[in-house]
Amino acid sequence: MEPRDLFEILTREHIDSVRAFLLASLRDSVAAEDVLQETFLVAWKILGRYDRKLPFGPWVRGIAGKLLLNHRRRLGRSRVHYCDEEVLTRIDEGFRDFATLQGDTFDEKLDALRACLGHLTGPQRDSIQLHYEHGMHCKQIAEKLGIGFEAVKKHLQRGRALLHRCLQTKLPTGDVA
Amino acid sequence: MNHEDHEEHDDGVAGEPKGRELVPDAWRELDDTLADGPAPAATPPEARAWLADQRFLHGLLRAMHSQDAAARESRVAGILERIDAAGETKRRWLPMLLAALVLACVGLWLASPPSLPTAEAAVQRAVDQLARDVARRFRVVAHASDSADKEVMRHEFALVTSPGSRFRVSGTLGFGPLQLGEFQLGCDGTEIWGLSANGMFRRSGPLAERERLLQAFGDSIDLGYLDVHDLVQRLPGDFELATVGREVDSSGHSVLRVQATRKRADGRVRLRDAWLLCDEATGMITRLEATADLPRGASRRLSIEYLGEEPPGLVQFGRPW
Repeated sequence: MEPRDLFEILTREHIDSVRAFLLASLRDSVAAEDVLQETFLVAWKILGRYDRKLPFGPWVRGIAGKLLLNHRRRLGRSRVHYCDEEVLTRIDEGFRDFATLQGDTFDEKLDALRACLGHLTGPQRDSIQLHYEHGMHCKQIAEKLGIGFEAVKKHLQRGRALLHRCLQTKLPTGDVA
Repeated sequence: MNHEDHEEHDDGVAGEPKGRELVPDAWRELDDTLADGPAPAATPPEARAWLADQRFLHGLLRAMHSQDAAARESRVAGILERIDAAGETKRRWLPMLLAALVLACVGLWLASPPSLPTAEAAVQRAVDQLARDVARRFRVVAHASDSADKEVMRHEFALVTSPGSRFRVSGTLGFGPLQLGEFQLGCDGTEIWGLSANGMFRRSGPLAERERLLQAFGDSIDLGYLDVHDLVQRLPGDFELATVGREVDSSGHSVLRVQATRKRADGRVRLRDAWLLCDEATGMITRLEATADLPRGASRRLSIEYLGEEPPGLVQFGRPW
C-alpha cells in the first residue's frame, strides 16, 4: 500500500478523536479546524518517524498537543484553555480509554456517552443539554432554569464528572477511576 | 426545566450516590471552559486530574454535538488536497531544480579552480545556513574519559536548536554504570529551564544565569555546544581551520572534511580540536566531532549529527510549566 493511501485511512480513522482533543482546549472551533488540518499535515511530513508498532492515535494527538502549546504561546491565554504537558497527557489518556469502548468508529463509541447522558437527570442534564446542544452560555441557562449563574457552572461541572464516571464503567475492564 | 438554586438538590445520574463530585471551589474557578477571559497562568498539581477530566468531557460533548458527516468529509478532503498539492509542487519543481542543479554544478566545475574550497568559506556557509530561522534536529553524544582513557560518563541527547540561543534537549544522563534518568532542558532565547522526567527537578532562570543551572546538573551538560550556531560561528576566531579532504557520506552526498585546531591553550577555549563535515550542495554541517579538555587530564568527546529540519510550529522552546 502506498504511504499516501495508508495515511488517508489513518486520517479517516483518527480525525474525529483529534478534533475532539482539540475542542477540549480551543475555545474557537474555527481555530480548532485550522490546528486539526495543520496537525495532519505535520503528521504526513514526519510520517517516517512514526513507529508502526505503536497506535497512531496517541502519536497524532501528541503532534496536536505540541501545536496547541505553540498556539497558546502565540495567541495568548484568552484563546486556548489552560494547557501544560501534564494536563494534555491526562486528556490524551481519556481519549486512549475512549478508543477501547465498544464500536468501530468514533461515532459508534459516542453511543456510550449518549447512553450516559440518558441516565443524567435534573438540572445537570438540562444544563448540559442547553450548553452543548443549544450553545447557550451559563448566564442564559441560569435565566432559563431560574437558578444562579454559579449554580449552572456547578451543574455543568458535576454533570461532566458524572458522565466521566459513567464512561469509565463502560470500559472493557469496567474500572471505575 | 425549573430548578432550585441549591447544590444539594442535584439529581445527577439516577440511582448514583450524591456528593461524589464535590471538589474545592478554588478548582472550579480554574475551569476556564465555562468562563470568559484568559485561562489561568498556572494550576495547582492536585487540581490537574480533575481539570483534565472536565476538559476531556468538554471536548467529547462539543465534538458530539457538532458531528456532521459532510463537514467531516470536507475536512479529510481538505487535508488530502493539501498533501497532494504539496506533492505536485515538488514533482513540478523537481525536474527544473535538478536541471538547474546540473547546470550550476557544470558551471561551477568549469569556473572553479581544481583546489578544495577554503575551510573558512565552508564554515561561513555553514554559519549562514545555521542563521536561517528554522528549527534543526541533531543527535548529540558526549563521552567523558579520565586520564587513563577510561569512559566515566556518557550522555545521549536529542537536540533541537534555532538561532538566538533557542534550543531544547531531551535525553538521559549516565555516569559509568549509574543512570540518572531522563531530563529535558530548554531555552527560548531569554530564559533557560530544566525539568527531570519524574518532576523532582524543575528549575528555570534568565539565560544570563545559565552557569548556575549548569551546576545543578553537576556540570555534566556543557551548554556551550547546545547553541550549535554560536559554536560554529566562533570556530574561525579561535581555531586554525583547514580543509583536509572531500568525501562521500553515507547518503551519497559530497562533503568537505574541515579540521579545526585550537590556536592557543589559554584556558578560555575548552575545545581542543574538532572536525566537521560540510555538505557541498547545501553548505550545512552534517557532522561535528570535537574533543574538549577537562580538569586533571580528563577529556570529553562530543559528537553532533545533523538529522534535518523540524516542521514549523512543532517545537516549543519555552518552559513547559
